[in-house]
Amino acid sequence: MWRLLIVPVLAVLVFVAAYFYFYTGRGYTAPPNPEVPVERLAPPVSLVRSYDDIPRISQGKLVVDGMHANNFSKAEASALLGMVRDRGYEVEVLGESGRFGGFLSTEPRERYRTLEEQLRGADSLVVVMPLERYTPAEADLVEDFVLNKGGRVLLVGDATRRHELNTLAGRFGLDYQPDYLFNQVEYDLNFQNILVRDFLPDETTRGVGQIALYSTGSIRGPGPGLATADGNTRSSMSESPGPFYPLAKAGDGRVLALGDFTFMIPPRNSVQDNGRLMANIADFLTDSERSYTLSDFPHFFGEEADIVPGRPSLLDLASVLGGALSGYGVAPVIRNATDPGRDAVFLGLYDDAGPVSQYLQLAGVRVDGSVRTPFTADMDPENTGVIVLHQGDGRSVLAVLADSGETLKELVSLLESGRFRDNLAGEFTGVYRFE
Amino acid sequence: MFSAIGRAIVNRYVGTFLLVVLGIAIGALAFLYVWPGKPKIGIIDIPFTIITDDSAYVIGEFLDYARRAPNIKAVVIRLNSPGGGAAASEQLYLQTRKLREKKPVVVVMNDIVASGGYMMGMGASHIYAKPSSFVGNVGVILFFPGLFIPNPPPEQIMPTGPSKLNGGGRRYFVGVTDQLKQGFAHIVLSERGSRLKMSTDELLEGKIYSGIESARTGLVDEVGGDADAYDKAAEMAGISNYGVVDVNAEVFRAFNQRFKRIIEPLQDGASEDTVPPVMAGWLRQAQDPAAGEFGATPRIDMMRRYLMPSGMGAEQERALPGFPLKVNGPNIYYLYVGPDQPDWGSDR
Repeated sequence: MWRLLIVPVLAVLVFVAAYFYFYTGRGYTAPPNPEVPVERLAPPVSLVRSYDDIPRISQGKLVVDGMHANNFSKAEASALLGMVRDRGYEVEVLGESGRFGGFLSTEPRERYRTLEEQLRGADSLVVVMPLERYTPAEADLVEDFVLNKGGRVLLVGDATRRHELNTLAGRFGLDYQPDYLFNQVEYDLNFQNILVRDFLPDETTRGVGQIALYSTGSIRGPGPGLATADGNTRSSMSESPGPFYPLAKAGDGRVLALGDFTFMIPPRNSVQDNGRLMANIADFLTDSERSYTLSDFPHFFGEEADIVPGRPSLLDLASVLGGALSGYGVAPVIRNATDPGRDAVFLGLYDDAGPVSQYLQLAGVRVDGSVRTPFTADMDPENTGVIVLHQGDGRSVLAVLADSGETLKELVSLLESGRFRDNLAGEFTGVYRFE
Repeated sequence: MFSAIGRAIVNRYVGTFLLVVLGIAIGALAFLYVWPGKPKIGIIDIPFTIITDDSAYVIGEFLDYARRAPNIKAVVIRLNSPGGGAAASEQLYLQTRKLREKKPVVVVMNDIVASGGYMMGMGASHIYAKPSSFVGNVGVILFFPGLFIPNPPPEQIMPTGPSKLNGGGRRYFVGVTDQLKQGFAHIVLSERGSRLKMSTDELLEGKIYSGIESARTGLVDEVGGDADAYDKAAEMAGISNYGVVDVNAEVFRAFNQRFKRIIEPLQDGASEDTVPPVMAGWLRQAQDPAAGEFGATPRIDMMRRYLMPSGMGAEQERALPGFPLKVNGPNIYYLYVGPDQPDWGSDR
């Protein structure tokens, strides 16, 4: 019977042998599975602040460039432009909007002509992400507008959109970098939405504590920027720790450059102090101290201007000139004498120049016997005309004089058509000879 | 008499021999077929795969097979994926983790294991990377197809709340994306624990690292290849002499059999009028004697759509006839996209 034990003993032996042949005897212990701490993984919260804008009313005109296939839509700019309008400014958007937002391209010659004409009467200019390059001639216009005529310019870029801003910004020593700024330590909802709280004292940063910028690139300028991103902010294109400037000023403080457009688009305009910054930008745009030269005719006039004919026979010509002024939004009032507190056009022959002789004298112009200016040699007065602009005491006086009624008529025609700019002898004086 | 003694002796030895054989047989059979069986390592091969709902379904079948097969004591996953859809990637992470609860799972990272692919790898017990593998890219991509400034709904559509149609505005989804990023980070931080030697900020930069750097910073456990993975899997499972099972082939074999069981009754009358065109093509291939057993094997991900009950996965035009709005996104991905993006406007 003992032989029967062979079966279980061998079975066990074989089992054990097989087991230790195939298994080492150490079992597998599964690691614990971590739980997802749903309570701790709340989405980030954005700080929304309301800002009560109390606009300071003034008059002027803001021109928005839309002729360079600018890469934004009117709806996106509506919050800022609304603030500018609230301040009493007229807002003129140049160019034609495309069907899907953005602007269409304008033919370069037409673009130059429009820009030149519009800048004559503008106080400030906004250029948002042009997709087409500014030509050197166009950049000359803007540079002259800022540096010589006191106009203000707002340049707006955005790291998420293409643009050719540097073709204009470069004129003022500004350079939009092809990067975007990010901060992984502290941000508004996403690492690309950086918080900025380090500002230089300036009219545009007054009362601004902290702003959120959403897709800003950095701007290099001649000096430190208006705003500096903090030490945790980095650039996508640079290994250096900064400093990086998303806001900068140049052009004697009259050019403001922003690296981000998105912060102005609702609802981001109400995050942190973005609303306050936008109000300050609107103030900046509506606070220009624009100066004019003769070539800016008739934009140096206010809403009304007197037309004073030197003799009754010139009344018809005064009406013609009045019609031209009306076309530019200047209401003409024909009077028989100048009012020292009002803008005026004096229309007369050389013999009638008495009421404006002081202005001619200040400009160094003589029309008695011969025509002489600081810029021209003595001229025989026959078939000649002179235009002199005087600005002072808060008013502009334009003297339009000629040797005869016929010549004066031709001179007014030149004023109407704008061709008077072809023969300017100086910034405030034009001398013309008619055949 | 001698013959009687001889018979007794013969009987005795034969009987003993038979008992020995019986004992060996019982021991061997009990070992092989009752418990614990001859151990095997299941090999799951995932060649370069973008994780989608479909591919996650197939990989999920592999993981499920490996989990249920009693003779598979450990699993080696050869992984090569830049990630893909967020939910599909999470599904694979959770399924890998489920498999790990039962048997050790060793992942070998091949060319690229990034984002959602890396998330799947987090479910493993041990991770190897090749020196030149690209690993990491932890983070989330949200693609929001809506308008920048949403239009109000047209007059004939009556939603009951401002977010009923779109689920929330752009900023809301930006916040949700950040939340998902934190969730991804939590998975990596908790799975890698003290082995991870980089800060959360560094991790969430989304960088992709070489295999060497990944091992140095603790994104993976070691630099190694398939043979190392088999050894590690065997060591963790406590097995020494093992066979291997091609899980992909086993799943395809099982699926093929299932497919044939369902399809065979249709084969005689199969035409493009009675079955979908794709399936009719498969049926023609299945009837080709030269095709062999796997010649007509359909793609599982495509097949499952045709094996679903009617109505599931229907196109919007059929499901919502006359509904004027297109049903779409937002789409969330755990995905490595790669550096070559020529039209991002970096030429300014």
